[in-house]
Amino acid sequence: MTLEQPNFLKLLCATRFAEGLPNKHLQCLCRGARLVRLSAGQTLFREGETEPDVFVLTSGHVRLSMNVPGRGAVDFLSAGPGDLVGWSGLISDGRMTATATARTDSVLIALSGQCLKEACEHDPQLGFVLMKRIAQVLSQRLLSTRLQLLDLFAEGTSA
Amino acid sequence: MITPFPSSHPHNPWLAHSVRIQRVTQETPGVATYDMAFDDASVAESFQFLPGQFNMIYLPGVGEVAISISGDPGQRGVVPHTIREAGNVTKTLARLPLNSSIALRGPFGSSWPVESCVGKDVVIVAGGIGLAPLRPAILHLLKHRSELDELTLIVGARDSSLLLYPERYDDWRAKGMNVLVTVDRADESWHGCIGMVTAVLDRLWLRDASKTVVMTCGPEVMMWYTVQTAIRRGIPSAQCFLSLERNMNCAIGLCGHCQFGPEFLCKDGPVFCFDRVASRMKVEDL
Repeated sequence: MTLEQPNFLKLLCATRFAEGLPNKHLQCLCRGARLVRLSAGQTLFREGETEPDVFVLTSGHVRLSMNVPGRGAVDFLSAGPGDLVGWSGLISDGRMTATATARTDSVLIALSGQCLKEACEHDPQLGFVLMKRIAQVLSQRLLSTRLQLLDLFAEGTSA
Repeated sequence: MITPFPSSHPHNPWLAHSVRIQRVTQETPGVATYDMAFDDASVAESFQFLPGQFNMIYLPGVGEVAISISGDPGQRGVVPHTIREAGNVTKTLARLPLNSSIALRGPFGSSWPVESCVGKDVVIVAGGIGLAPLRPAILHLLKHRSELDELTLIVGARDSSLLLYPERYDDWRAKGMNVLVTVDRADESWHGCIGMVTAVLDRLWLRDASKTVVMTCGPEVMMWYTVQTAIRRGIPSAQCFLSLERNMNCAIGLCGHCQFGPEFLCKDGPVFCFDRVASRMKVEDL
């Protein structure tokens, strides 16, 4: 289902991902956008598959998992409203490094990876702003992963 | 009004009161809540504490340990402490039968700033057993729910089997608190959120960040990044509070075991405004 661009702009503006981004850049992001509605349990993309678009969650929750031989799909992260998922489509070859499955009924804006790449090539300022925002998202994701790896809630010592 | 709290009764900090282990509730593997009842009826009646304060639990012949009070500040007679088996004292305590007689002295230390939450939004962020020292604040704020705006609890645990007080969450939700739960590691049975509490805080809708109070307790690294996330979201650092833990021995700032720069955690803390301790939180070995 595709919405008119003004609606996409409104939807995107309401997300944390769009906070502080200039309107003219947000309009560029919305070019070629489409709306994705997932029912709980539906898969957005699969690990190893190529997915050209990137997604911004507007509502619901999506789980990311990786397939581990002998263990099956291991869930390692939840994404919620305002989170960006599937960024591989923009900064690498688009081969997904995780499987994304809706934990609850979810709505996402699919930003066209192709349109974004072209827009960034055409307008380096947009490219810088967008990549800076994605870097911020990835930085937070990395920090969160580090904290998980530290196993902070493992038993401590006291008297 | 949320305030005023009755201040704790004047007490001799060295005087240990005899208590009996009235009830033990196994919370998670290795963690239990011990309801301790005073033997002396007059002490039972007069003992009051503020949310976030701790007692020194004394096991004769074994030792003494500082434990935060995890019960309702409005409750009289019985004082609950949620304790993880970790060292000699707590492991010995875990082996004692019901009605065993032990002792406690207290209450000690600073408290969560519940009185400054009136008319504000409150976000409580707890990790692991860090929910225990926050529970008195939660119970108190729920009693005064109408005096607050948004009230949110973000709870994190290693996995779902280690969540503290999970059976209470629905009751707290029913009383008007938004309870968000996340785990580091999920198995097939877990259908909730996966990830750190910081990620949940990052996406939490804030009505007005400038009028939001954050209280956090858990591993120090978690608290640090919780506050960093809060600040990035626009919450003033002066409105972020955390509870620190060090080796507390005397509980009145004499022995120096819990010294943290110019502060003694036992008497100046354990609850601090972030601004007061921020410069020392990343000092190695402090």
